[in-house]
Amino acid sequence: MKPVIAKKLFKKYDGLIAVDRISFEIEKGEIFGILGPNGAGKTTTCRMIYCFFPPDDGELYVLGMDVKKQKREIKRRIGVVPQENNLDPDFSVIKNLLIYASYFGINRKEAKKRAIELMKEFEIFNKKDEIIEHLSGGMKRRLVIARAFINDPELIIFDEPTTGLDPQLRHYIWEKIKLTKEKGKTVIITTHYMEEAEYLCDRVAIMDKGRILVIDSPKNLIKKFIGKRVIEIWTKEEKENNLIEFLKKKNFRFDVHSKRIFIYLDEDEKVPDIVYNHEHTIRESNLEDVFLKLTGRKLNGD
Amino acid sequence: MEISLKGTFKVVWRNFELYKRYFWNRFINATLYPLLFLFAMGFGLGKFVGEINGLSYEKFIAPALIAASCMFGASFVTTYGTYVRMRFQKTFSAMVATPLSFDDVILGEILTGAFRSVIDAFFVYIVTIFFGLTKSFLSILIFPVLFLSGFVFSLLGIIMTSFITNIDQFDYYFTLFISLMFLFSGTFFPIEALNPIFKILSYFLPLTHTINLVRPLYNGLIPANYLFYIAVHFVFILLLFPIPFIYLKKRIIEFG
Repeated sequence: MKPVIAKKLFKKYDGLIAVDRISFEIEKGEIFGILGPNGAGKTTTCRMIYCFFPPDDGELYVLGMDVKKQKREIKRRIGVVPQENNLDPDFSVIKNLLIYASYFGINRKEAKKRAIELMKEFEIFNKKDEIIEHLSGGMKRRLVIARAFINDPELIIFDEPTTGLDPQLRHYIWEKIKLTKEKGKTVIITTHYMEEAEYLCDRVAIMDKGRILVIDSPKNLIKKFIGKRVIEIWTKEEKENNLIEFLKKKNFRFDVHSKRIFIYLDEDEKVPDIVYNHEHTIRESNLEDVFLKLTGRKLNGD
Repeated sequence: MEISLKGTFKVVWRNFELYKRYFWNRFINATLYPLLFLFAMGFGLGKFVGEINGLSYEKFIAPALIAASCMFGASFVTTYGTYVRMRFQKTFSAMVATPLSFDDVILGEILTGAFRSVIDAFFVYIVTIFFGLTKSFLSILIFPVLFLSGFVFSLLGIIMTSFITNIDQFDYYFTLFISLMFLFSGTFFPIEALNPIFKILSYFLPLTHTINLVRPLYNGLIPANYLFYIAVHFVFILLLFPIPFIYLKKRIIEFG
């Protein structure tokens, strides 16, 4: 049974169409990424999965259950790491975990055992009696993540888990997410960091304006949309046309954005000599190229 | 509605844990205000007032001040308290990501206010006993009444919380409504003293009916028309009850 099955999901939010009839399935034990620019509908999709609000139309099954009918049971078996830390600021670290455990109906003894395990795992045990207000940002984030594991969930949703964190903590959280997968759990993660998605995700869905543009593994997407390498060229206005003309004639795949030209090369394609007349970089292609190609290099709202 | 009593209880318990943590702070704030009034008005002004309806002035206002502390208790919890939890701490968003439902959370907040109102009133009651203002066992019956009353004020508070757009707007609620009730619900003088129009208006203020019950009970008497006054509380509850379950829910979603 697939942990998440969405069919023609539709959601309006604030009078705007946030999610526009998207369909997708998530496999058991995979890390599934939902990518997209701000306002693409990532968080709205996640919130429907963790039953924060129901879809306006379409079907959504989580762990085999209908989100419109079995909210409590679904929520009992999933874990949620929200975008914003929503810890109880007046309580201590351990109290936060114990109170959260009580919401799941976990008895006090068991809750205490799990809380201690989680605090050790996330290296916040020595702060266990500290009030949240006195914790550093990184510790709060670790606690929010630890908290999501209190009910031993089968499916965990990370909504932008590393936004605004320092590189050390990002890598730390990445390892925790990988470990979660190794334990056989299914992970959903939303992010707009492409290196994060490329590193973590088995498959990603790229969303834009409420729709899913593509779903595939990062590797396949790069291969399909970009190729092996990318040449970035900084051009001066007057020479640009010549170069573009040339690229068009020779059937190169490329994109132009303001004063930069991106040429996409497959494994067997050679770097055209003309490139050497310009300031340029040649590099491996990555998921960010795919993302920008599909969602546009323009800023949102332009 | 999706209410589970277990879930609701957990929300109340979470708030109670918070109350425990800040007990002295809350205790002093809740009791000091009515006691200052008791001293100034009851023991001070009272010397010049004489008896009202057969009660000494301090015995006249003590139960009203207990009722008022109940009103303040419920109101603060469900306005500032609930709003901060909803908007700034996102406590409710965290809660509804667990098996708790929106309705559990909302009912839990309302009940928190109702329990708090009884607790706050209880401490004021104890102090008035200390001053020998009541010796009647019947006075214990004020607490079920205060719970009902606290429920009404919690509903009113949480409805405010459902509609305001800025935390400062609670000032209007407290100045225009809560303070108005504090002064014109038969707290410090019988509403008969008011001109007929205000007298009629005061019947629309829930605190008037609470005081009509609490004042005789406190002084060892069975209230006249008590069924009517109790019924008024239930009417307020029935009318107001559904509102937060629609509109506060919307706000919780809006604030994400």
